[in-house]
Amino acid sequence: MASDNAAGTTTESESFLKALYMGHIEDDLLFPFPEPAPDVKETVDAFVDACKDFYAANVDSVKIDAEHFFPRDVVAGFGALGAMGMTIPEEYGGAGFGATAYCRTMEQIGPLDSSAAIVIGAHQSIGLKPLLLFGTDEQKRKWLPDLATGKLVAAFCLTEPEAGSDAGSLKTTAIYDSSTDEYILNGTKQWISNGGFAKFFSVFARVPGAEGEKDKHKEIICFAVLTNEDGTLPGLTRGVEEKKLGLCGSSTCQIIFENCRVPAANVLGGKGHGFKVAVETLNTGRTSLGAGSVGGSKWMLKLAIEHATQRRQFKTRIADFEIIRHKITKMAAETYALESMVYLTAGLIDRGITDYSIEGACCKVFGTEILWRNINEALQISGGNGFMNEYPYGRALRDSRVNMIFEGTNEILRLFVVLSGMKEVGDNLKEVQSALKSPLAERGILTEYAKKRMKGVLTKDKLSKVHPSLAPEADQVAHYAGVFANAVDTLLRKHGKKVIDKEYQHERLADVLIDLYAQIATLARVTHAIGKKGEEKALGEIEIARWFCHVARRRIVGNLKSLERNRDELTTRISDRLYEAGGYPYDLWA
Amino acid sequence: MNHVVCIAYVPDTDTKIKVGASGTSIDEAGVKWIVSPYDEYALEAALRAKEAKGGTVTVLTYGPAAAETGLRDGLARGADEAVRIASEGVGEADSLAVATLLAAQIKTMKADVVWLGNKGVGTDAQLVVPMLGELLDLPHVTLVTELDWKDGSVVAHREIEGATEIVEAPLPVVIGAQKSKAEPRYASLKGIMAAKKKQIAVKKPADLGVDIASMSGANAAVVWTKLELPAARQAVKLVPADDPAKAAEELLRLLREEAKVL
Ligand SMILES: Cc1cc2nc3c(=O)[nH]c(=O)nc-3n(C[C@H](O)[C@H](O)[C@H](O)COP(=O)(O)OP(=O)(O)OC[C@H]3O[C@@H](n4cnc5c(N)ncnc54)[C@H](O)[C@@H]3O)c2cc1C
Repeated sequence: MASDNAAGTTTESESFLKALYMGHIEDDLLFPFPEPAPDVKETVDAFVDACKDFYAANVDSVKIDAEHFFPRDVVAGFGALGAMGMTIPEEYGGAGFGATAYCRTMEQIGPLDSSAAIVIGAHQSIGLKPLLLFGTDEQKRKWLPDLATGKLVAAFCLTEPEAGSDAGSLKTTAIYDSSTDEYILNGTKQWISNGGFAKFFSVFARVPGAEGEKDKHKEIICFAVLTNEDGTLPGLTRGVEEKKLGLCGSSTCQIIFENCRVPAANVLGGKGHGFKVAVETLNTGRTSLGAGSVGGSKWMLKLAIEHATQRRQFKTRIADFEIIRHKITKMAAETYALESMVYLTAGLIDRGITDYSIEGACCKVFGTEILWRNINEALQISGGNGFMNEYPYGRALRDSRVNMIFEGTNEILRLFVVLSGMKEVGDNLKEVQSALKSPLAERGILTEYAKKRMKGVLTKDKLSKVHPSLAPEADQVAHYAGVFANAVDTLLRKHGKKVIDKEYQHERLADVLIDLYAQIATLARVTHAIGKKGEEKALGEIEIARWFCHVARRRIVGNLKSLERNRDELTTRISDRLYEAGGYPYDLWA
Repeated sequence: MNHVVCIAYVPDTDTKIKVGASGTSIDEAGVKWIVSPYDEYALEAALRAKEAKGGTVTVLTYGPAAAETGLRDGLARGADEAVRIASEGVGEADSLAVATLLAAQIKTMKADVVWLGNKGVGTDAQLVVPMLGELLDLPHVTLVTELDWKDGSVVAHREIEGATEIVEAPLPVVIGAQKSKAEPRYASLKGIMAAKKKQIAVKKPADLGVDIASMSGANAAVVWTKLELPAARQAVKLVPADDPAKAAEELLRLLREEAKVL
């Protein structure tokens, strides 16, 4: 955590946003805005083209949705195409895609059929991830090649009826049987994507009393559970397919374990580390959900513009009405900001930054909510047509709704991005406090944060590399980044450990953080665009950035003000009364 | 058996074509390029023949560096080698100039079957197949949907108006492929990755001993003088159906007098 660099030029944390919490704007991580290597771009473009041809001939999206079934031969086709092994390293039979390549592919193929995106995404983003991240070389050699070809399809089994957001409270047990060197699994996993046909399950269970009483999370352990070739395994039952609001073609069911025996050699990540395996798996997978939202948003924007420029009312293209202009511009500006955020994050991952959990969560929250709004606006612009099932909006709404629920609900992720950042600051605060107690402490051992804190000011860091044409925006963002860091610091000092429960504030801080990150990514991207094509040709992008930063700033100001002046106490009292009444207690006619 | 498949890299059939400033060529800005669909059938047939009987498949194109993406696509689907005849610095080349360059390159290779799409989408001239046959002094068969192999010859099914014509030709032979039941395969990600590692040989017209200046640009046998987009389609005309009898009468009148189809 603490930098051991006496000059203090290195950061306390590799994560861009963790550094932001500490009052740093790590310019070096933003400029130049990451670009894919030419050969990566060529490969991904060629693969996306191949996928589009494959989809056109084999994926009947309407039928898949209507029949609530994803044809198994299409899954096999994905395997032959290479879509199931994108992220698996070449040495294990995959294509070794980095984050940027994977995100771009999911962005492009996601909107073609959301159920297909789940088959591919649940397999790679979560299902096989524990093996990829934590498997031994032997385990990887054994299973990854078949996962890469789709011969094995993977699923991720964490959620249980009693353990959703609070995954650490899971109840499925794993009891060790020394006579056979196996674990015996018992418990029920719920809403498992690809559950109906997967043959490789990453399963999280609890070894009761394993690692002492103190940390219940330490009891959790992750297993690779493989079925026989025919998909059966003694002690493993697949539940009936859920009837869902959306993603109807994707398979979602319970996986029930009753005395299911798993070899001890199938433990992934070692005993006592299962919770870490789950958390890291989810942390690394979220950026791609943001990328899928980029693809969906571009599609919606295209439909909205097509309709708005063709439909005439009052003898005028509806596109020319200012309310419609505003909708379209907002859709585009948010899409641009999101695209910038996702590919900045992916670029950071590809350059070797290992801690990107906050950035990934921001991409997921920002992306899934933008996509939802964009579909809603595109539908609205379509008028009554938008409500008709022969148009794609209704299905898009249904399919995209769950994005805000799975892979960490957006509420939980808002808490996560704030509490992870606060933890960083809190650790450093202790240092400040002890340093202040012993004024002779050698300053060299203090972190940058502590030094600044002792001087009484947090950041005056600037976004110095942003192109001058966007200087007002860059100054504004840097200013509010400083205000944000100070606000977090103040909150921590005020509440100490109790800060964890201050969710009214966390929600505001999370939204400020997301808006800051979105603006920073946007400004870095536009600066890069200006460098490449000149100010004149980049004008469209410059103006989009100005527009977005203006709106984001207003939101930030509002949220920051509300940290101090709000009606939170009223909120608590009002909701208490409502809970007490069990419904709406103020019926006018009562 | 060695197969040479000539591919053309052409504007995507979905692309909205705009005429360029010169008025004789298309505006290439924003155009997406693809391997001409008929050439894909040719490549598929060659790959299947190779899989069944062994040998090699080489993809060959005449075009700019960007056309190498098309060659890579061929390599990704399973071709072994790729050659590009560079068009850089060459004026507008007509079918004869292209066929001359392809023939000069093919003469340096040991080809048993030279495959092409029956036509390149875009210009649709359908000239290169017979021209190649002539220039290479080989038999050629056009509109081929299916090929059977014999010792030293091929039996080709030609799709003609209302019938299938079956012809036999000795090897080596030039084949113009028509759409067929053998649907082109997709490049797999594995194939794409492997193709990246392969070298594409680049030849200049001079390397092939062709004096291209004498037969291209203003010296070409066929010169494009003007390119025009078809007239925009007229808006749909709706006949109000409040009174069905009257509507039918009006419809009949329109079909007779305006559309002149009756
Ligand atoms: C289609 C689909 C596919 C899925 N696929 C998988 C899969 O493949 N593998 C898998 O393991 N799981 C999967 N899930 C489960 C999914 O991850 C969970 O639904 C999700 O984690 C939320 O848990 P929950 O549904 O129990 O909601 P809960 O945790 O009960 O949450 C209910 C509500 O309370 C909110 N909430 C909870 N805690 C807090 C808090 N501290 N502060 C504020 N608000 C809070 C939540 O945000 C939410 O709005 C899938 C779910 C669906 C719908």
